[in-house]
Amino acid sequence: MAARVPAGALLMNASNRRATDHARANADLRRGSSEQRWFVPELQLRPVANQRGHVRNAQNGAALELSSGEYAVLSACDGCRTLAEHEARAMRQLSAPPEHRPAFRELIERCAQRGLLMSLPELVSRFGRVRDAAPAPFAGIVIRTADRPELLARLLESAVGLEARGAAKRHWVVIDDSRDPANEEANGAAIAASRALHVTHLGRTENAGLERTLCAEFPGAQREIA
Amino acid sequence: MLPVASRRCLVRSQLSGASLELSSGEYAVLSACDGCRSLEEHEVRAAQRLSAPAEHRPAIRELLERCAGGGLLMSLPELVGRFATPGESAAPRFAGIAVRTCDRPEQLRRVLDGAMALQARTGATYPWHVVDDSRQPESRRANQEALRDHGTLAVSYHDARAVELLARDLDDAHPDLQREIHALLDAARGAEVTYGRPLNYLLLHFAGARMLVLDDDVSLDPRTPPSPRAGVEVGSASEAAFWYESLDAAYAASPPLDCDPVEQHLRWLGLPLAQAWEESARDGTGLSIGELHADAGTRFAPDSRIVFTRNGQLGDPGWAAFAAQQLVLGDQTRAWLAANPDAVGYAFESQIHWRGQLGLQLAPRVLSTSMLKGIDNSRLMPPTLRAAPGEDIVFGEAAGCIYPSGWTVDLPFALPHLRSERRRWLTPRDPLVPDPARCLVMHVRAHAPAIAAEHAPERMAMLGGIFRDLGEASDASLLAMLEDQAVEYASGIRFGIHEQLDDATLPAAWKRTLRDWLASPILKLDLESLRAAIAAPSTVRALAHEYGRALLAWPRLWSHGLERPQ
Repeated sequence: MAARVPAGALLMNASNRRATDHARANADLRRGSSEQRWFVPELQLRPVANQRGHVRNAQNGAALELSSGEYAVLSACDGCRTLAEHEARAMRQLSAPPEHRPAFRELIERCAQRGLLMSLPELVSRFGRVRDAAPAPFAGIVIRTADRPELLARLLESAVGLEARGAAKRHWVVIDDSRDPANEEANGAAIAASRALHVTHLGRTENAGLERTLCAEFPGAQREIA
Repeated sequence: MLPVASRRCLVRSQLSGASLELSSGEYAVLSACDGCRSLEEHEVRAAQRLSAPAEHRPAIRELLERCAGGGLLMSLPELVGRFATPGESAAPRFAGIAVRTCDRPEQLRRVLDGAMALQARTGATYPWHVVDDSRQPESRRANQEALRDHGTLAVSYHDARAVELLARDLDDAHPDLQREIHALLDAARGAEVTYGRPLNYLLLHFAGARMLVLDDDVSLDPRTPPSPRAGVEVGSASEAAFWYESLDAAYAASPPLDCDPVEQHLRWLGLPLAQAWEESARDGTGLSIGELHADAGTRFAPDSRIVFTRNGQLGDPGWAAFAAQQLVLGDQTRAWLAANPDAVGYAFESQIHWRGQLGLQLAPRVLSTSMLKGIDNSRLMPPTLRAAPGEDIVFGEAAGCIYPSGWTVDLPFALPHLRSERRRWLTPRDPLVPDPARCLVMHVRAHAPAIAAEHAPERMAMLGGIFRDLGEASDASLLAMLEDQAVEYASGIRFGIHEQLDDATLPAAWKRTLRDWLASPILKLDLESLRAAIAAPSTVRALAHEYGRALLAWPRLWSHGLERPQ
């Protein structure tokens, strides 16, 4: 069971995280790289007065009060672009005259500085840390088939070719849902013909066996298992 | 509205399935219409809102006629035709008037005095039920003595033993639900405030019947609205509020009304809407249409009925700490304040308010907060939180989710709600006391549209699932949600304040008061202030888990109540 974290600590963590996010955003902005890309996340607007709204980035908690005109400019930005690109796009979308350009730039920079736009490094830093642990075991490549033995044969043939060209040897699992026993038999023959591959063939008999085992184990869930 | 090309869209009415392809300009005109009005009124309103020049009027008219002809606007008869045809079925059984009381024997005695007077005045003998949640043995003794002193009333007494007996009975019948049963019915532990416990008991004990629930600090002395409105209005206008320097002043403005408040509730409670509509139309002054927002459309349905009845109150308005409603005044209150500027002086000093509707209102919504409320428990109603403030709001909100076509009748009289002690309301300098129940209510409002099931038990199960899901949210997402709710709450009040500051008719002194509140930490939107206003995530999580489990279990418990002798 997960340990309970006191609310105060949670708030503190959230606060620290946001402070770091904002610091990073400011540093990104100061670095002034014209190549830096800024992502426009989903923003929540809540009116607080006539023509004024509280705009909040729910992802990092950053917020700014903007006029309706400023919000219109911000809403015309989207995607992950450089500030210059956001500015050009907003100008175009709103058919703004060139003399409005400096005001657009000032607003977009303010939004970036205050965390409404998120820099790409800030976004990427939200992923968990890189771990050294080994990846989870790989069960194999599962092939679903039903009543198309010629297609399964073609696929297995290509798999033989792939491994012959030096690809890693894998475990292949054929889940055979064929209704016609003749097709199931033909699938078995195609598998037998692919001797170079490590293939497990699970046909109707095996599926029925699994269903019986599950029903015996969970009698209350027979309907769901079926 | 679904875009189909540049500046072209398909507009569809989900209610009727009708659709039309419109240009973006046409859609702007249609979007400027709202409510239920004549085509002329819609035309005037749209032209006004869009500041359209006079020469555009014929085009606006043509468009509105086309939308009406194509079914995007629905005529009132078409809306009303969606109700089922009124049948001859009898009203569901009436279990009686339940009085919840807890360690206030003198208040209970006053209610019983009022009940005796009512009985003597009207000759109507209603069944009364006292649910005694008192902790002190002397309170219970005094309550029983009060009952004995009112021997001419048909009163049944339900004490802690009655609740325990019901819980034991349910335990025996549903041993797998013991945890939920006790979470709903257990007596108070420590300092817990268990307003919800008696209501849960009543809902189970009187499963299958209508009932009225009365608080023990109410006096059964109906008063008229200060400026009454005749007839029946269909709409969801917010209640009017007026406040007075003293109780005498309030009584002078709101004279006694010669009516039987119980009979007034019973006239409407549980009525199918088709029948309520017919009766309203027959009323001497007729039926008028007030504010009807687009989302009211779904309330016109074959199974629409009156789920709750409420009346106004005179005296304590019922706010425990933060008088938020006092900061966002409705149109009627603003007009009153403009005409009575002296009232500003005691807006937050006086706790003597008249709050309610000025005329009878058929409201397409489900609201249960009232000191005397009618509950149609003839069909499955949800439980409420046993021991958390705000349990009445949670109850109403859950009922609204379960009955999306439910209506409420607001009756145009007030009952005095008289507390022995003055409440301590927050001032602009105080911090907000976090309210975990409000988080649940806001969460329900945001997620109720996801519930698709037709029948109440399945809708309740989905609602329970929504709360269980909330209880499983990560700390980070729960915290983000709580912050977001805090923004929504505070920004809504700020907007209401700014709207009043822009209103030239309101007194300058009122605006000074509002400006004080704008600077209050309670209404600040910076992160630090928001964090100070939110409930601890662990509290919200525990409450969501508990209520989710209760909702999932409740239909079985309620069915048991239905079969149990009452």
